Amino acid sequence: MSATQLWLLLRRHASHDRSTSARFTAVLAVIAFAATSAVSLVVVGGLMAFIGRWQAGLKVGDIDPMFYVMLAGFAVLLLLVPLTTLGAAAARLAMARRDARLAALRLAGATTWQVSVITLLDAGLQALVGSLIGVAGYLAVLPIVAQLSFQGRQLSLAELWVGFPLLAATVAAVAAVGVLSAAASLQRVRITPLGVAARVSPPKLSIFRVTGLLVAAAGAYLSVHLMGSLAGLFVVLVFGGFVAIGMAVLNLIGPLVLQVIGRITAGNARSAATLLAGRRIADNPKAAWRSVGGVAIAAFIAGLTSLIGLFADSPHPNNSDQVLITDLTTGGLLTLIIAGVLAAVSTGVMQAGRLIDQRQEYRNLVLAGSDTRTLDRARLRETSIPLIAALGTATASVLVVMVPVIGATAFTAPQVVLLYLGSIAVTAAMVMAGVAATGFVARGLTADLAR
Amino acid sequence: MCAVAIRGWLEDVNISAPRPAPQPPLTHSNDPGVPVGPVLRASALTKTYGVAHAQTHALTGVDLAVGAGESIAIMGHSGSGKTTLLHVLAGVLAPTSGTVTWRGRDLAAMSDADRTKLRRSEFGFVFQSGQLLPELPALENAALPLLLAGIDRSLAMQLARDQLGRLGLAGLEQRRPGELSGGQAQRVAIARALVSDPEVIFADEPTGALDQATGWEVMRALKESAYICGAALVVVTHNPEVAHWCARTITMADGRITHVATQQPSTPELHLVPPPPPPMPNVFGGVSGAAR
Repeated sequence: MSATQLWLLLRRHASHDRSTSARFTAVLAVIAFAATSAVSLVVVGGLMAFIGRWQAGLKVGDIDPMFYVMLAGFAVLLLLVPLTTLGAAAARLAMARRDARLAALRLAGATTWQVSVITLLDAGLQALVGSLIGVAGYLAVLPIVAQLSFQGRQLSLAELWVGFPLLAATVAAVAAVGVLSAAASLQRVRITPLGVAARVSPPKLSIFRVTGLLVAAAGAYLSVHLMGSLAGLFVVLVFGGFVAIGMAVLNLIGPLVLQVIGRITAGNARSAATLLAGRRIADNPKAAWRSVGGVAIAAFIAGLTSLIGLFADSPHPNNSDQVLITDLTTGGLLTLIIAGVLAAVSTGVMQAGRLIDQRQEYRNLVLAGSDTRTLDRARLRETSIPLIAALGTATASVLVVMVPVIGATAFTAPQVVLLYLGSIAVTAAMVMAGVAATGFVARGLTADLAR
Repeated sequence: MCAVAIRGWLEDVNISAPRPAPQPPLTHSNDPGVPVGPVLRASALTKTYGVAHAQTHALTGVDLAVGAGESIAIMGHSGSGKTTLLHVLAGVLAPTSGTVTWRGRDLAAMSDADRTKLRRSEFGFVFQSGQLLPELPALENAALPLLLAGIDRSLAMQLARDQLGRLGLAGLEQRRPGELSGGQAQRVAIARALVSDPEVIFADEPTGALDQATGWEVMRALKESAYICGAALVVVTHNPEVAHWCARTITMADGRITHVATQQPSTPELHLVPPPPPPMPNVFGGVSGAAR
């Protein structure tokens, strides 16, 4: 039997696989791939709108439209972290279930070639379905995004439309992430099928470095070809380098801080829910940081751009300055909200993935009389504690940076501060809603216990 | 140490009826085959899965009484209904017909929340695997049922530490499950099952993932701990050597009890010389469960 025939046979049987974990894993992976595609397209569409306006020579006052392109590029770079996190979460989720099946196939005598083909076709299909749903999502939200105004003009659908080549490229890129993640898990199974069957994880091949390379290459291609010169590439490199250094520092410090917070939380916990949350944060602070890091950075940037809005009420603003300041505020908050959406989906997917991975432990806890509400609270706190820490730190940092500059102005224009704080609250609520949604997965895993 | 002293704490969150006078463990009575004062009674149990045209009858008219301090092994081939019976007895699954009563109270008449509390405070569970949370050290894993029941943390940790110590795990309290051997992890699971001073311990293939020697040690620890606490022990197993630890062995096939055997405590149990119950810390007062 050829590898493709074997794959088709397995697919046919997989469609009858009604087990809870199988259904949830597939659905969650597709949701994550879909969200990654949709948000990527919206973000690229926004960037292209500004590039289009720059190429058309649209100017507001004496502000160089290239400045808007740079700002939009900066926002895209900021969103790369949560986007990559979400893509990685989708890939991990897909890997978790595939590992066991691949090991079983290898142990049953499937050749390396057969296992490779099955894996890549399986993963590619899942990511492809997700990205196609993502394209539909992008088309659905375009009219909403088109309500936004920048440079004194409302964005048009034509400006936000990325075109068929980019649409296809995005679908292909998301599918590539899925296939690469599968290739990584394949590598592990090839090395030690017994190890995977016994749930022993050898050091993992980091596929995310490869994904990073792909993203960098795509960025370079886009900047050269869309902006028509090497200047675009230079801008991307400078901003990219700046953001990369900032991210690297934050990614070093963030998990460390969260680990300390986790240990303190667990050490002082008076309830089982807080103890579980603290231990989980301390046990895997990188995962906790991945959930909230992108939001924290976006919150900091949005804070800066929002508070710049305070200058809009200065006595002698000329018209173009007013427009720029308003656009900065809108752009910052938009970046924050998009980062929030990404964080909500990725946090939900990561938590659901862990629930599925630990379904036996979870079921046994419920079976032994653990209150599911307590376990729900533990999951919520596991996210809310780092989220509050991250958003609180970002907000405090904004105030530390901006209050000496702005001074009492902040108190004379409370609407700007309130708008920022409101956006923070909405972002936090979205992330927590993402976690709360995992309750459906938890109920599903134990639904048969009640029958 | 059997934590009778925490009974007051548990009663705040407990639905249980008043406890009868303490009973000695059944295995030490003259007739180990006759349950003394059943705490759990199942009558005419049936359990059917699936829909009309594809029904599976997991239980078909099972009657069983579990006496205080008694030890029962439920044996049978795969699919014989033994795990289903354990789940129905523990109030995890509702029977299709028949009743399970806990000290005279019908489990079906209890709310789901009350059954959850009953499982948490009156029952202990030991499974083959997958019961310890990988992110918690042994001590916190063992203390988890108490914390879930709202017991003060320092008290919960002290009781869990004592329980781990009794099971030979002193010094391993801060190890994660991944850092423990299979036998050590099962003993942590036993500590967790016993920490809330249960009346019945349900064990589903507790040695299924262990080698013979480790399995023997784990069964010894389980039996010894249940004895000291005066808790009944219901073990589901396909292994006759494991079943041999129990005073009564019931064999199931096709959802029915096909054979009941009792054994005098002359088998491995005779070699089990339980240590005397350790004195309770003054702070709790009370006595050990063996005397309850």
